[in-house]
Amino acid sequence: MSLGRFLVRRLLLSLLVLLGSSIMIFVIARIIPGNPARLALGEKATQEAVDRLSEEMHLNDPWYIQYGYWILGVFQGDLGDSLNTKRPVIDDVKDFLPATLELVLFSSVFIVLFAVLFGRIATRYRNRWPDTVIRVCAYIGVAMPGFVLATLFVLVFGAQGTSVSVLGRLTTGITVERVTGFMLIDTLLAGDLYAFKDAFFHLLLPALALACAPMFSEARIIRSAMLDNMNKDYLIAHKGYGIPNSLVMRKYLLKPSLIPAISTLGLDIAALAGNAFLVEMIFAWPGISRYGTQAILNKDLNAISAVILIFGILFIIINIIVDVVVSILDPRIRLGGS
Amino acid sequence: MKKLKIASILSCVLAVAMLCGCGAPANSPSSGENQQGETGEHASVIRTVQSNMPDMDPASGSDNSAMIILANVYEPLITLDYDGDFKAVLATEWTSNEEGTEWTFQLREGVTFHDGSNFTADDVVFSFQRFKTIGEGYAYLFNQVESCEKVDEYAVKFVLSEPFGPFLNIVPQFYIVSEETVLANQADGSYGEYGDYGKAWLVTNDAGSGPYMVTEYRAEDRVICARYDAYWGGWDGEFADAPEEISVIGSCEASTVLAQMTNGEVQLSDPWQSIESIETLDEQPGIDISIILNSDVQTMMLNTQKAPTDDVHFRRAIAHLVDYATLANVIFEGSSEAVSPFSSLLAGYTEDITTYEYSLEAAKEELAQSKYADSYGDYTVTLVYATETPAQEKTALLIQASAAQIGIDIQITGTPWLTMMDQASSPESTPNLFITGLRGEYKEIGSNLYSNFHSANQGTWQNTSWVQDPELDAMIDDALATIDYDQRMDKYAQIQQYLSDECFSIGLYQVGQMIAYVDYIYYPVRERALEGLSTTFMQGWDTYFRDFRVL
Repeated sequence: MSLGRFLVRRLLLSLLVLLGSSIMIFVIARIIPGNPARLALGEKATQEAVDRLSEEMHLNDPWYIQYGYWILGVFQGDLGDSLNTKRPVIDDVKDFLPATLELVLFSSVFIVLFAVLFGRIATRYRNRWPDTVIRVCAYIGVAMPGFVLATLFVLVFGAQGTSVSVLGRLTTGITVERVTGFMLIDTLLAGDLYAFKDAFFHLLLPALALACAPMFSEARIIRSAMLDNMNKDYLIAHKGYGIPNSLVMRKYLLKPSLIPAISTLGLDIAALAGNAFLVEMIFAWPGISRYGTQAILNKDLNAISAVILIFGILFIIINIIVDVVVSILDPRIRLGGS
Repeated sequence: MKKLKIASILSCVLAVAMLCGCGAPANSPSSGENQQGETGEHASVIRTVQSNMPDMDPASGSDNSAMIILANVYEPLITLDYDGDFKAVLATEWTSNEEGTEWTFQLREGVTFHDGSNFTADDVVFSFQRFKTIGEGYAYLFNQVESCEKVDEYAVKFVLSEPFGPFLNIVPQFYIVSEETVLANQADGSYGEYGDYGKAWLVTNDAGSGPYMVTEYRAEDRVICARYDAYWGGWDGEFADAPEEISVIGSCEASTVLAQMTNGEVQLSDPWQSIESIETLDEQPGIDISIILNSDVQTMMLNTQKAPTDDVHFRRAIAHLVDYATLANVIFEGSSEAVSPFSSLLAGYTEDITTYEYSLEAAKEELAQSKYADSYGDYTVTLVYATETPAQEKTALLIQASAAQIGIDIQITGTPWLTMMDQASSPESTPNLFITGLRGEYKEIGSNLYSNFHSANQGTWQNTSWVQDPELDAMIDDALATIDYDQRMDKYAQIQQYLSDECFSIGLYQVGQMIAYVDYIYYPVRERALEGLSTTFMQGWDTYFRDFRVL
């Protein structure tokens, strides 16, 4: 199957997935106890005010009618108003999504770089002390949830008598004109290197807290795949031809060994966005993940649906990218499995 | 492969950058502080954290976060000062007719809103109409107020449908917006000719006349306000050292607050930090803790429509099972013992009522008189507390343990608050025992009596004893309609005695509010508390930043 046909097919299938998940979330969100209009306006709001809001939100209609209104809005680029922030959800998304994306992309860089590095080191020195160190780190990394690490980072680097500002995206007092919403890019566009450095350091700790667990588990996957492949006949043949060992390692061993790691990596990275909420809360990071959690706690129906939709799209995009990358790494794997 | 080499090098660079990065900014020029408005060695800025972003619209804001902004950015006609006396703000004088159904306020002249427009009676009339029409926030307090009319350019008259004794106490919850600003910024909406009444615009902007004005609203992050230079009260003399800039930050995660306070980014914490967090904050150099009794009373409501708490003797037995001293002095430090679900800060509060002391013997005696004397062992008494306030599990366990000693089986369920609110909607779904914090909404006990015990207000989390007692309703209505202050207070006392006899609710302890603050700010209510003076009751006004000083 050609790349073009593959992409079209995957995108069409993805639409179905999005539709299905949006219906599911739409229904589940309505099972959370409490009348959303009452929750939004407060216990003591007059009944007229609650009725007016319920009417505006079509809360009195059956769920499928509500869903109809919602999906119509989505196709027109209108995600409704948030009950919590009292603004159009689309504005909230524009504000908060770049923060989370920046964090997730930065964590992904950590994950990819260090996973390959540690995986190679562990293979190269298998069963010797570097391998053991990495293994122990892997156990700790996988066992320790990101939010625990985040709390530790904040306590160690943020509080203990230092004046390091680890919270938020920029040190209070530094302002940068918002263009893309990605702080690293915006600071560069503004030509403000000091702010760029500040944004970079603010990004490091939360990204690392998020990256730690997937990073080490990927390293372990790479290590075991490399060890599996090591004794394959073709490698022995390559060595027999006199190809230098280092070249064999890099070109013929690492490349096929990356495939299982990359498949899980796709899921890991997509999951980062959803899992980021605790890390975002701890680092006061104004991201979409934290926003989504608040939305669920406040039964902010439009915001919940929007966040789920966005995470769904993220998952799909990342998985398509992974499929394409895997097929490039190993041409024997045909796109779409045909 | 080259790529891998590059990857390895990049990894190393990142690793080094990370290690350096974590220590480096300590020396950077602007870490933690901005440079504007320096007074002495500290920037003239006070930032406080709250559990959520403030709803800054005076027609809908009502929680702690919102009230901080409203008290500083908007102004009411009158408010209460630190001593609890009425204090003129936008009004200068007020009088009522003999029946208490018409109240006339003379307005202050020479006041300008933040947009520069003049404050007149039209703004008050418009604000009231907007407040009542929108019907959110504290508008429900004004049910008896039929209209607000303009008398002349600088006088307005409130007309009440019936006499309402505590009227002056509710006026501070009505904040004035600039008619001109709101009309200029209204969008399409469901309020007819008024569109959305400026609601969308007021989410991120202000239309007030208060000492501070909103300069920046960062969604889900913070609101930043600066001094309003043309404030009618001025900034000279004792106000010269008030902060130039104030912020309310909309999240208060414990470890984040600890970091923010130690690195100078936040000067004042929220009141919801756990005792453990407060202790950690207290250990930090330069951070002090303020403990002030607020008007919350942690209360256990007893469902009178469900066996076995439908029996008054059984209810009294439960009241004897609560170890009040341990709750107030050991578990919830900084709190004080409660004798009723009412705060001692409220006008009309009395301790001259039947009280229940912790005594298993007394509980057994009451139990013997109850209609469940022989069968109480067959019942499981259900108790809920909100999982959002995990410390209440200790309260629940304490009560459960003493109940077990006399054979009463209490089943504790930690329940999410949203579910508790749902449970409160009918007597069948309301558990026997319902632990919640009750708060007076104005500085008179009538507020609680109506919210928590009048049958007109049933179906809400504030009123879960489901008392169906026309006599009690009549007593509350009568007290609220009494204009004469002393007579009203007497009636409040009688009702408290009645409630205590019937034991519809058990006041567990009066909540001591613990707030961490940096020691270089002058925190007025804290200083007053240290001197043994009374502190303000009005929500939000304990953070009236014009009275603060940055030292």
